[in-house]
Amino acid sequence: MEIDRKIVERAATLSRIEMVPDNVETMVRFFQDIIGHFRILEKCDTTGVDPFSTLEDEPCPLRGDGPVRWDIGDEALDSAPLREGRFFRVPAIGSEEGPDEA
Amino acid sequence: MTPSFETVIGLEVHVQLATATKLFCSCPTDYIGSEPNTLVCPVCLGLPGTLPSLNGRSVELGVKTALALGCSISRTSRFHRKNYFYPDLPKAFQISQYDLPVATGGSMPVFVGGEKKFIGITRLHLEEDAGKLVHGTADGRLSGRSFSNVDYNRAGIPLAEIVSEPDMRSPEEAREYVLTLRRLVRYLGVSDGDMESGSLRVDANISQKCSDGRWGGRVEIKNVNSVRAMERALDFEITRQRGIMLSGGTVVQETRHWDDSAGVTRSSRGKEEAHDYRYFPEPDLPPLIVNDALVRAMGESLPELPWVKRERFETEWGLSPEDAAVLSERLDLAEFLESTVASGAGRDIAANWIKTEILRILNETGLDAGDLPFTPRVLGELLGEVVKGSLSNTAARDVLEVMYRKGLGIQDAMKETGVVPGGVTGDLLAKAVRRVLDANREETGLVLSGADPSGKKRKYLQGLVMREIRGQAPVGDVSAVIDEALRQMRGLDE
Repeated sequence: MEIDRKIVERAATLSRIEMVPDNVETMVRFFQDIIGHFRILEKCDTTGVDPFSTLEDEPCPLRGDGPVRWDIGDEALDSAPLREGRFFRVPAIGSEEGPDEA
Repeated sequence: MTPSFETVIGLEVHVQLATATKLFCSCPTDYIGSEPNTLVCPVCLGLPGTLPSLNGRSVELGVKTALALGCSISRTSRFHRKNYFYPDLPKAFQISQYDLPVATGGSMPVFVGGEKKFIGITRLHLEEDAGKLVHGTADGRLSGRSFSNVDYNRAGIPLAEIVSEPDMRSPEEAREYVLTLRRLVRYLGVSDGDMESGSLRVDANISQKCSDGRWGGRVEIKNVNSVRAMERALDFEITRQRGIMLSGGTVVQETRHWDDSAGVTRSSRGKEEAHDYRYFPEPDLPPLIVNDALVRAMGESLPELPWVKRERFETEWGLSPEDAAVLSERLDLAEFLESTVASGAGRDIAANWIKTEILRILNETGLDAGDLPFTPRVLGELLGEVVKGSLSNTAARDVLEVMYRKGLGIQDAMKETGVVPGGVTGDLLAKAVRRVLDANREETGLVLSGADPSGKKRKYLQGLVMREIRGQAPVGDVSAVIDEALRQMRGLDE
C-alpha cells in the first residue's frame, strides 16, 4: 500500500487529530518510513509460523471472579475537565449520532 | 404481475454475563441502582499504563452458552481492539473478538406456529460493554442541551455477543428466537436476560429478496429495547423496504435507529468512517486458550436444555403444547414440577396446579420456586389429598394459600383455614346442599325440569356447594347428596 496524503488525512480524521497541511507531508514521510521497515521484515520467511504466535507463547492468564472496590470515582470525577454531580460531562451527543454501541 | 418478497432477518444479541466482576478488571458488576461512577477503577476508566486482566468466569459462561447452542469451541482465540471515538468508551477502543471468536457454528431450535425450525448461530464472542450516556436533563428535555453525562459503571461488564445466521423469515420468527435465547441464558444461569434493564440487547439486520431477482440493501436496526419494539421495528422496515423496491428504488445499506414513540426507524447520520474500526490484535492480552478440562466441566454443568424439556413434556408426559411451553419456560418451575411428580404426584394434576396456582404465587411474589416455603414433596402430599377426594380443589387451594403466606405445613394450614378433610357430612352436608339449591331456584328449576341436558347447571350447583362447605367433603359425596335432594324436590313437586 502506497502512503499518500489521502491516507494520512483519513487516519487523522479517524483518530480525531487535527492536522495542519504542512504536517501532512511530514506524516506521509514518517508513514512511508514505517511501512518501508515492515517491507524489510516481510522478506523473512514465516512459512509455518502462526501469525498470532507470541514470544512467550504463554496462554492468557485467567483472573478469579472476586470483586474489589477501588473507590476512586470522586477522584476521577474531580480530575475530569467537567463533572455534573456524579457524572462526567461531555459535549452533547444525540443518541442517533453516535457509532454503534458495544 | 406484482413481484413477491422474502424477508431475511439475522440478529445480533448482546448478553451481559452474570459475573461478579468486569471482563478485564475486578470492579463489581452490580451497577443497576448504584451511584454513577462508583464501580470504576484505573483499568475500566482507560487510564494510561493499565493492563487488562481477563475474568476466567466470563470465559466459562461464554463457553457454557456456546456449548448449549451447539457451537464448536475454539481452543485458541484472540481479543482485538475495535477503535472508535465516543464518550462512553473510555479507552477509545473496545476490547472485543474479531476473526478468532471463542465459538463458531451452532444452531438453536425455535417453535413458530407449532413448527420447529433451527436457526443457525454464526458465532459467539466475548467483549466488554461500554459506559452509559445520559442525554436527558433533570426536567426531561433533550433539546438545547450542550452537554451529555457519562456513567462508567457499566464500562467493562462482560458481554457475550451471539450472532445468528440470516435464517429468520418473519418478525415472528425473530421474536421466538429472542425469547428462546433469553429462556436459554436464564436456564443456564449465565445472565438474567432482562431486556428492560439492558442485560439482553438486540440489533436486527433485515433485507428483502424480490421474486424478480433483486436484493435490497441490508439494514441494521438499533435501539430496540423490548421484544415488542423489535417486532414493530421489523414490521416497519418490511413495509418501508418493499415500498422502495416496488417503486423501483434501491434500499440503501445502512444503520437505522428505532424511534419507539414515533413508531419509525430513522437513518443514522452517514458516518462512513464510523464503521472503519481498524481492528488489530490486542497486544496486552495473549491468546485465550480454552482447554479440554474447561470445555468438559462446562458441558457437564449444562442442565437439560429448555427446548429438550419442552419436547419431553409434550411427547413423554403427554402435556399439551401450550402447557409444555408454559411449564418449561422457567427452569425453577420445571424443576419444581419434576420434583413434585418424582415425589409421587400424578403428572396431569401436578402440571395443572403448578401452571396455575404455583405460577400465580411466583408471579405475585417474584420468588423463585426454590424459595417457596413448601417443598415439591409437600405439594405432592396436598395433591394426594385432592386425588383421594378428602380435599376438594377449592379447599386445597385455600390450604396452599395459607401454606405459602404463613409458611405452615399441610396439617397446620388446614387447622388455620378451618378446613377439615371430610369435615362436612350427614346433616351438615344435606343442609348446605338445600341452602344452595334454595338460593339458586332458577338453575335448580332447569335441572329439575330436565332442561339441562349438558349437565352444566348441575355442575354449577355442585361447585357452589363445594364453595359453601369449603371443600370439606369428597366430590362424590356432595354429588350424591345433591342427587338425593333433587329426588326429594321432584317428589314434592309430583
